[in-house]
Amino acid sequence: MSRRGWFSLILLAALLLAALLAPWLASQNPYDLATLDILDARLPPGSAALDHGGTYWLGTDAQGRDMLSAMLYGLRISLAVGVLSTLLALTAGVVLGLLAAWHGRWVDALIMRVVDIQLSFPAILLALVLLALTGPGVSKIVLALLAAQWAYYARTARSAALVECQKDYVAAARLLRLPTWRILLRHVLPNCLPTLLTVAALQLAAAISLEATLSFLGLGLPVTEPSLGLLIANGFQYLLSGRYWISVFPGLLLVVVLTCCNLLADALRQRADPREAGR
Amino acid sequence: MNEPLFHARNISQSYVLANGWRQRRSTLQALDDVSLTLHAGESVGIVGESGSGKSTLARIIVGLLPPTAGERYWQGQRLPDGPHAGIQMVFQDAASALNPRARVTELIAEAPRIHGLITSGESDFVATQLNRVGLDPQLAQRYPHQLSGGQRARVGIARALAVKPQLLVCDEAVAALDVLIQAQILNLLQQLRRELGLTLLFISHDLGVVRHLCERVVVMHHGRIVETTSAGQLAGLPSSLFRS
Amino acid sequence: MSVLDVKDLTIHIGDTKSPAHAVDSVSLHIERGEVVALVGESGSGKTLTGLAIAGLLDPPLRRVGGEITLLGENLSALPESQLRRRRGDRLAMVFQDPMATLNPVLRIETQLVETIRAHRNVGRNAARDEALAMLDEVGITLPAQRLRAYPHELSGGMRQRVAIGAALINRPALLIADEPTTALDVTLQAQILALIDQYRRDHGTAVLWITHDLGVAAGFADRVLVMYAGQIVESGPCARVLQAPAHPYTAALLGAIPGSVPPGTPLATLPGQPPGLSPPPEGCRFRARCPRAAAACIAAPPQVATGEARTVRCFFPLVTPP
Repeated sequence: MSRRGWFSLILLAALLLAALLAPWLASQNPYDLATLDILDARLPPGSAALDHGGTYWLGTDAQGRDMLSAMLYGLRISLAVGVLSTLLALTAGVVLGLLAAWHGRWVDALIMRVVDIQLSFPAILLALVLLALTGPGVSKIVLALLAAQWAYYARTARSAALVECQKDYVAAARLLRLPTWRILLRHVLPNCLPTLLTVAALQLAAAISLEATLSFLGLGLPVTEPSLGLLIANGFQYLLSGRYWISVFPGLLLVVVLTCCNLLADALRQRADPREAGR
Repeated sequence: MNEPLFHARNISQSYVLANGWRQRRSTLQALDDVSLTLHAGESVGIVGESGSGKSTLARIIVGLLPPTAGERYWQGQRLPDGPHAGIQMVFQDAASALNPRARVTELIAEAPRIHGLITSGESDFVATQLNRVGLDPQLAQRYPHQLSGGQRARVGIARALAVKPQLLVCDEAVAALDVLIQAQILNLLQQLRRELGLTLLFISHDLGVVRHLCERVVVMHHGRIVETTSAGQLAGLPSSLFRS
Repeated sequence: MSVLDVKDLTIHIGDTKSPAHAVDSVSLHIERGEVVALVGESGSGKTLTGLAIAGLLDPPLRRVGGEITLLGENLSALPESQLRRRRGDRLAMVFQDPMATLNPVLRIETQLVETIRAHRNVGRNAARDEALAMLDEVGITLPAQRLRAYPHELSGGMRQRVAIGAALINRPALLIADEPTTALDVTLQAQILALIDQYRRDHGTAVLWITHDLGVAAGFADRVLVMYAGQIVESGPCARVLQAPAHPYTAALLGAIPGSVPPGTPLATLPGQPPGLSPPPEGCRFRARCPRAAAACIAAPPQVATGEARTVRCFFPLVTPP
């Protein structure tokens, strides 16, 4: 893998670790209203806390939350939602895509027409409609993201599997009378995986940004569990009055995460494509 | 006379071609009423130009492709569509015929393990199969891309033979190999045929190879069998079709 | 003057510390109207030799030595920019896969016309007429229709004819053909060989025919060069070499062809595999597989003349000089 690929992978892993360890890294629990001090609200970065003497390195928001702690917890939610919905959508899409490629005929036609219809809707619109129907919540937004994204994986898995199924090793596996599920999972799928992982890395970025957008619009997660998108939304009204830090720092973190995902996807694509390997 | 091992009767294969957006449909007759009988222990060659239908026929015989019309019989019994345990195939492009992400040992042992053909240890089984095709058992842990062209061809043969077939169909199995390696593989096929009593169906565009390996040769042209002859009489074929 | 004269061509693959010596001191020459077959197994360096002459070596392949003289002009002394022009004018190459030459998204007409106009100051209409005549010459039926076609609309044999047409359209003095008939069946192969044979008789084109198939060389080439592990091990008039090979390797290649022994009996083969070339083995590179190897073979055998315009790189050739 390229140096850029490794760099983004390591940075992403570090962010993931920081998000997982948020309860231990953060100086306060931003969800516990009892620890918040309303007198500390909207302090600029580097300010000292009034009572306990700690420092708010990235400032505080309107409720007096330490931004750094809020961002660590927010990152935790954003990544959890993104990774979970990506894994679920990948699984669903791969199963349906492989079935379509293997069976062909009407199974293929049915699945792929649904995919076509699904992809002709903007993902954000579909997610908005679903969330409007179900209401906010972590599980609901994961479901909405799954519904908005499985079709990409199904289409990619199908086209990759069609290429592999043309190869003689699949014919050989059929002649050896291996069970169909085994041919698909042990022979076809591993050879489609490089392509699928590339798409997954890209879609992970899309899922995280979609969740941020939905939260920004107030449709995603409850206010009590702010993700990065909600943090940005919370600071939005103070942006013009000079209190930039409430929106800008969560925004920067989001940009870093998304850039890492995209760089990683690019590196994975280059690795999977031998024509690009030498560059 | 005793029952033939395999018999294909009145096999036809046609494709419907749709021509552009106006959908003028035309039919391509890839195989036209082809019948073929193979007796146990026999070695039969099929020769023909590209487009003569010989590879389509091979895929129908092994059960990868259901024919538009016609039946297959195995020791007198009608075969349903699909592969049969007794018929295996060696493919032309050994690189594409071996799953690039599986080690040699898995390539060879996977199917026998599932079908319960491995009675003692699996590594012993794989070593026996590799030895039989003249490969060092130490290659068992390699991936296909770590093998030479000749070694890959041998692994392809070992995989087919590991499930104990009686009929081995070789579709241009040596066409992509250098002449020295081709000679080694041809010798190996001869030797395996003798040792295992295999029936061999050898599809090739190379008359020299077929004449060397086969007792009986079937000549195909435009989807039909135009001639069936003993290998020794092949010299009388029209030279415009083949180089001697 | 020879059309092509190559002296001591040496090609390395990979880093400078432990490169593979893929081609080692290969010298050859081709006269006007002559067909020379370069025969060897995959990995013998035959394709690299062709690519180097055509100036198509890209890293990690490096030409580290040797001179290539085309029509009396030393190409190795020219800078890359001028080299490209010289090549298009005077030599052309066809590959095993015609799609290596043809652009899949352009009509045949566009490709041929552009090839002509890139090298010669010819009007668009005149170039089109020339393209039409060329398709006719390479045996394409209904050339006017095919001119409007895209490559994917043609059959494999026809594509290869078009690729050959594109290579010949600027009347090169030298045609390098790298296994252009290997992917075709026997009938088409014979037709393509006949086509090239006719063309060189008509126009005096020199042909370097790269192949692994001694059978193809037999009916077609004037001279044959046999390569093994990066070296030319035998050269000479085609008929003489194939009738009475001097090098044990050539003899092994001939013995491995089905038909050289009675049907059903084992073909003669060689033990082992070609040696690794980073670094190449000391002494004779064929030593480890050679049935005639002896103590003397630890030294590298020179290429020696054996009479009848033949050379062999062996201490114990099967043909002794008269």
